[in-house]
Amino acid sequence: MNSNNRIITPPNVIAFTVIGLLLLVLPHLLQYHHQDLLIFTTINVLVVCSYRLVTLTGEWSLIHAVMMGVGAYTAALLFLNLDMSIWFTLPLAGIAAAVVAAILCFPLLRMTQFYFLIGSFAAGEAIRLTWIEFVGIFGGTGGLSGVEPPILFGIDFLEPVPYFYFSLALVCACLLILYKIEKSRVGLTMNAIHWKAPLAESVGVNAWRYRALAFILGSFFVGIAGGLKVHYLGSVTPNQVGIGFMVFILIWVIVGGYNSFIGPIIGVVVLTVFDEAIRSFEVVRPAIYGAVLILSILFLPMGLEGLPQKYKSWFSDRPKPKQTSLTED
Amino acid sequence: MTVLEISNVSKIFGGLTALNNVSFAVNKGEIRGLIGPNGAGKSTMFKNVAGFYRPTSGAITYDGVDITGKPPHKIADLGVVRTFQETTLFQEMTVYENAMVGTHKKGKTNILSALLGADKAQQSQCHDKVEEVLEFMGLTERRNQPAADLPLGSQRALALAIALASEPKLLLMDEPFAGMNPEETNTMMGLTKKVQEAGVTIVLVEHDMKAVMGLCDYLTVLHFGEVLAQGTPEDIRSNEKVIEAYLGGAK
Amino acid sequence: MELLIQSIINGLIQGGFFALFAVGLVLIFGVMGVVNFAHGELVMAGAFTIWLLHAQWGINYISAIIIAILVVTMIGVLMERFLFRPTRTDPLAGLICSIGVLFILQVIATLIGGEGPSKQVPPPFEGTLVVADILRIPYQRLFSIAISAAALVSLWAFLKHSKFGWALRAVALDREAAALQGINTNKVSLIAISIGAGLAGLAGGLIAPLTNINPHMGHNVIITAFIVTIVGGVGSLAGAVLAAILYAMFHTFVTVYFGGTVATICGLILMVIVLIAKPSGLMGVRVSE
Repeated sequence: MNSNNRIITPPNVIAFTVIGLLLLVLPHLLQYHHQDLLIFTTINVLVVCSYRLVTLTGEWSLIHAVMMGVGAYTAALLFLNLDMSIWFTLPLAGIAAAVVAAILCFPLLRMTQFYFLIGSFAAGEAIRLTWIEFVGIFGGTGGLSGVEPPILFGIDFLEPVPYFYFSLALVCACLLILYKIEKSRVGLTMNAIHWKAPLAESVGVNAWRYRALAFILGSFFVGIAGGLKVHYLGSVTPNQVGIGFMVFILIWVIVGGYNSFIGPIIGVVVLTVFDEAIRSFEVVRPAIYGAVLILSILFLPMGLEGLPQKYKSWFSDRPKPKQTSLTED
Repeated sequence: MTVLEISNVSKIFGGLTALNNVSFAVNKGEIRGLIGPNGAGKSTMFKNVAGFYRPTSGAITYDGVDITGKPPHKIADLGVVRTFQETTLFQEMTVYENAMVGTHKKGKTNILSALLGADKAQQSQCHDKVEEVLEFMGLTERRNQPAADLPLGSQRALALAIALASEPKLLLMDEPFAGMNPEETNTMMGLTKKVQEAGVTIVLVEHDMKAVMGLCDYLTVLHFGEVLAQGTPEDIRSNEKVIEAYLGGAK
Repeated sequence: MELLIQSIINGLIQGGFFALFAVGLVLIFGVMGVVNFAHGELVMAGAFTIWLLHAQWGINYISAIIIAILVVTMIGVLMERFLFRPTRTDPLAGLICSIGVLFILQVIATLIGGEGPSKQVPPPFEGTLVVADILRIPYQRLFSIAISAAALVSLWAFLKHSKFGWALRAVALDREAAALQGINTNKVSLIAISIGAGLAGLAGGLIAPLTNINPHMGHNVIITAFIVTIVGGVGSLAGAVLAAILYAMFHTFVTVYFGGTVATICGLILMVIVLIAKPSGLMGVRVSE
């Protein structure tokens, strides 16, 4: 809100163009399996950026993965039962997640910090267990399958390359909106609540309302991500969106860094590449992630995005960048 | 003209009575000092007025409106703003951004407007207000510095700036002079006077006697959660009960 | 009627387990301020140790339990020293570190036991106690409830009457004040996690002959522990024990009629309700401003 247009600078424009061209060309350079990965990575970028919105107000929830599931299940149900096209299932997936979030605001947002964390975890688990329990509607542990991507303009979007472009376009649009929110007055207020909620309240900020807004909007976007994923993958199961995936989200955000918009994106991309590299360590993979998580927290508290700053302060005598903790002062 | 009326306010925490039947009234445009030994209940009183605590009994009226137990942001909407003990700022944001948050009442928008940029005029007004307030507090040069990097005096000035940006009519200042050296105290006293001259009513909780005696038009003395005495600074200075309270209690 | 009494007894026995790991979690949170997300995996580690030592290598059950307790306590100590102590100022960071440990322990268990179906440990105490033709309680379960009760009572005595116990309570109440009084808070944290982890290891050892052992069994444990902890009151050990027993009975009953999944859903909803209505739980005294 202050110095606008920090982003439209010559170096940035060049960087964006280069990355843009790279992304457009990339799918053609990769093999099938990696094309799949590219699509999922793109979707996961939306997942982490939407999570970032939630954490802007300083509250870390453990329900974000389940919200993605809400979106996925909604899209799947609409497609399988009503033969709805993707143009409708996606927004409705987002809306469904937003509605669930809105309802959950009332119980969950009475708590903060630790209690909110545990409470959001409990609520998420309860939703997941509901999917498992009501086999008739939700398909139990097997979930729902048979969802297909559309055939639009004569192109079969089951193919990775078209679906990638589709996802890329959609995700970029969403990221643009998320970025604008963060940089707007609303984003400033959310940040203020993060840093010192009582101070913000003393000048008239209704902290609850902004937390709710962050939570609902974040859920909306991750719901869309869920719909996007299920239309490509074809199926959704409760285990896809359990604590395992939630931990991935946390790892991406923490390792990438959460002090800037781009941090979580860096986290997703770097760790996905890393994941591919350690693919052969099948059984041990979760342990490697565990170690990465721990090492990140202990030694890289600002995340990967903070690395350039860290190097600068090693080489000069400028004061070290302040470490922001995950909890309030 | 009474702008703030505290009527028989009590606040009890479990077994502890922090405030016991406190009553006093503040007149428009004055600087009222709320003083007393440590633990007398001064900060607690502030938190009750500003909505961070809910009085156990009694009523608080501002400008004729009953604000007892209302949430902080609603009370701020009405024009009652408090500053906080110890330096409370948005540490990682710049001075400019800190003050901008203060303009929330003027600047709050809905998401759609924010996204479409339909709130440009509104934000521009806020920008003007921020510049005005920063200049008033002498912080204009520092506008792009992170709040955490400021020296103490400037940090306190910024806290005051944030409060002023919300255009308060009643300002509750909670120990703004704590930890200041004489030079900083003088500067702060000057700024506080300026705020009063701009038409704001001030209630000041403070231990620094120089500031209290120099700024306040009238004093209310609290002791053990009760009103011990009220009067002009001269009266209070020579009030035996007050002297005994300060000397008798731990300082 | 028989079903009722049997369910009550089963609930009580189950409650004993719940109490063991809930109390450990509360102790760690109360003294160290950190939520140990890996607590379920500590129980799992205890169970796996029993499987390895007793079922696979033939070491006698009691010795295996003792070793399991030591192993899990050691894990806890390592966690405190290398993860929780450096992140003391940021409890959320500590929690995330514990998630990292969660994954590492699961992988270690998978490597030790191999993938494949869950493992079983044949109960060392065979036979069933039959009371008046109404109750049937396997001796293995009697053993477990007896040991659980003994452990909890010992803990209570320790906390109430020993120097360390007093120090633990002081640190839980106000860490800084305790430090100012000369209490070595690092040592106290170590003791707290040793007890917490030890109890988890004991729980794992007692559960081992009674359930399916697999690397992911910790998941249900941690959910139960959270529910019990929150409902009982985050600061309160007595609350945790009480809530453990009550919740176990509730869960057992609901499982009989509606199945385990529904029972857990109800438990989670109950937990959220408690968080809203009375965040301090049944017996907790933590007052939030």
